[in-house]
Amino acid sequence: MRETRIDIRDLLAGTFAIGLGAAAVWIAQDYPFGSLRRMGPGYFPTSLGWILIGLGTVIAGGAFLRGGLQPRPAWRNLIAVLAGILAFALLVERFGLIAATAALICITAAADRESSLRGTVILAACLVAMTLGIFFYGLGIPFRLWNWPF
Amino acid sequence: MALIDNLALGFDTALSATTLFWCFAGVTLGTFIGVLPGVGALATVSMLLPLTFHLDPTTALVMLAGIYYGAQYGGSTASILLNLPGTPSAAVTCLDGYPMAKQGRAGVALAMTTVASFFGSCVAIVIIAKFAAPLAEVALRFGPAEYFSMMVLGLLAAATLAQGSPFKGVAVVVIGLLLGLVGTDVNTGMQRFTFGIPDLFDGLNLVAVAMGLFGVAEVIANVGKVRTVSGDAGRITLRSLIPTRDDVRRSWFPMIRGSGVGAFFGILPGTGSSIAAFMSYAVEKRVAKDPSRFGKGAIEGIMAPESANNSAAQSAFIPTLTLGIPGDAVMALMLGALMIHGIAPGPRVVVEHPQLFWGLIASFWIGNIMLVILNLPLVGIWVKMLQIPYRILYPSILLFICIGVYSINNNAFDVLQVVVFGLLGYGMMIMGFEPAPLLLGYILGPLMEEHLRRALLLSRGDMTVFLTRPISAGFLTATFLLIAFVTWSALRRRRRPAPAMVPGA
Repeated sequence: MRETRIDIRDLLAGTFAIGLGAAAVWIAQDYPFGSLRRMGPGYFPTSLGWILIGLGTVIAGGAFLRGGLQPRPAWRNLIAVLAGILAFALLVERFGLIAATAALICITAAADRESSLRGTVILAACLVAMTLGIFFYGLGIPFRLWNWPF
Repeated sequence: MALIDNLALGFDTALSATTLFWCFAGVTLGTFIGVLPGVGALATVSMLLPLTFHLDPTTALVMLAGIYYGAQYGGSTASILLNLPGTPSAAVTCLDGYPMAKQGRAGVALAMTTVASFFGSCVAIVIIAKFAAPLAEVALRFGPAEYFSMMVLGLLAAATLAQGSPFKGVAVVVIGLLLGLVGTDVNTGMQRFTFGIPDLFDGLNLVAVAMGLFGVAEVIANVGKVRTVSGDAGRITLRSLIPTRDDVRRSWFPMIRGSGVGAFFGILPGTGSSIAAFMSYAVEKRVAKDPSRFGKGAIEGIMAPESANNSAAQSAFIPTLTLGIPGDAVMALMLGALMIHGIAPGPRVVVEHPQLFWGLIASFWIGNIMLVILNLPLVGIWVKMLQIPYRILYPSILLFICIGVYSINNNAFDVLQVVVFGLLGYGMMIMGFEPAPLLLGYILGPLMEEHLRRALLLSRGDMTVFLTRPISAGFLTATFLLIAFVTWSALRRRRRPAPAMVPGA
């Protein structure tokens, strides 16, 4: 990790909090605000939004007062894992559980640099078998196993 | 003797064959995932939450609780052998546990941490059995103002006592509160933050939020990093488990002090086992005659935190069951499980569902005895588990997450929520946010708004109601003292360089 002059993590964190808070305040404008005595649905979220903006400002401001470490996100892991789950979500209803499971395992395996094609295929086969055994036959959850929409 | 009657009822429930089976399943699984670094109790409890929808609520809670305290037993194994905590609350155990292993005393460390865990649990269970019911009676007199102030105290405690910047902690809680508001407002029927998506009208899916934030984010952070134990270090003989007389003599007081510290942080809403373990280590170092021994394999340094984290894990059930305020993030999930089963959490649970309440307490005894049997003679098997490569483990974890979330409503939209919260969870890790308090905020968000509305409706918009009602004022005073303490310790830390933190903590 490389050292930086300002604390980039805190700067990001503060900006993120300000952004979320501002979004909450902005969206909650559409909800009736009400009064202290009779709060409308907009009262609580608007207050929380302002609190979040305030906290974000303090966090981001503090970032300029000290140094920090350069954050190093594991992009490869992030993309492979999230893409795998996304594939599962998109495939499970259209193509069935077996295809979704296989896609999940094969895509997420890309996160690990040491994974091999053969190992991944074997793992996917084992996990598909295990899923069927535990969830479909064992617990009797009615999944659609296989489907070909075309 | 009401207590004896109640316990008899409890054991009656807990000793039934189904409950015993699920209790055993829970503690075994808990130990397993506790041993494995990179899979925490939080992720596992959220993964198994959908499965428990098919069980009756008592059995479901018995199993989920078993996973939680079982993980506290298993957590120390990887700390001692790999210098890598199996669960966050076992991070402190690395400091003295790993040096003990390097000195060839891994067996003693593994055996003694089991003893410490059992001792801590027993102390906490006695406290629950004795004080939970009277506390619930006090809580029955709470009005909306008291509830609101108590939630403020709990959320701020969770936010500021965790590691890292207190401002970031509070920000996480506020984000959680906002996420809790997504869906239909119960008072007016208005859709809030739903963006017109019908799947969001009932709010975000609790299981998807928890699995994304903890399960998926943990996997993303751990792939390619988790080491496994090599064949040689994994050989633990029964003979090597036996401690010396000196070990036993040194262990008594740290265990007693650790259990006390653990029970305190367990009962305090919002704070859980990780904070308890850190605090008890600090206490031991302060009272020790020769503090320089710590960090070099001092047995006190593993006994205190291990008894503290178990004691906290058990006593966290006190606020959860009697007040309906979760003791920590795992407890927030337990509350979620209760609500899904149609039981409104709060002081009435003890009166209206005595079977559930006392059955759970009785199951703690049984579960802990099972754990001692699982952990002492069978420790070799758990050590072998550390040889499972993460490359096989993580796709399996992700698959369980996907299937678990999908099976709740047979709705792929819930799985998409996992993707979003996985991204959010990992992003928060990168930005140095501690994600656990978010779940507390998420569970408490709607409740807090409801109590605030009601309190101010009753007082006709008079804000001083929170200060004029004595119990509420007490909670707010405690909140004020907490903020003063956090500010004071932050200022003190600035003058002296902070001690190096444990890796991966």
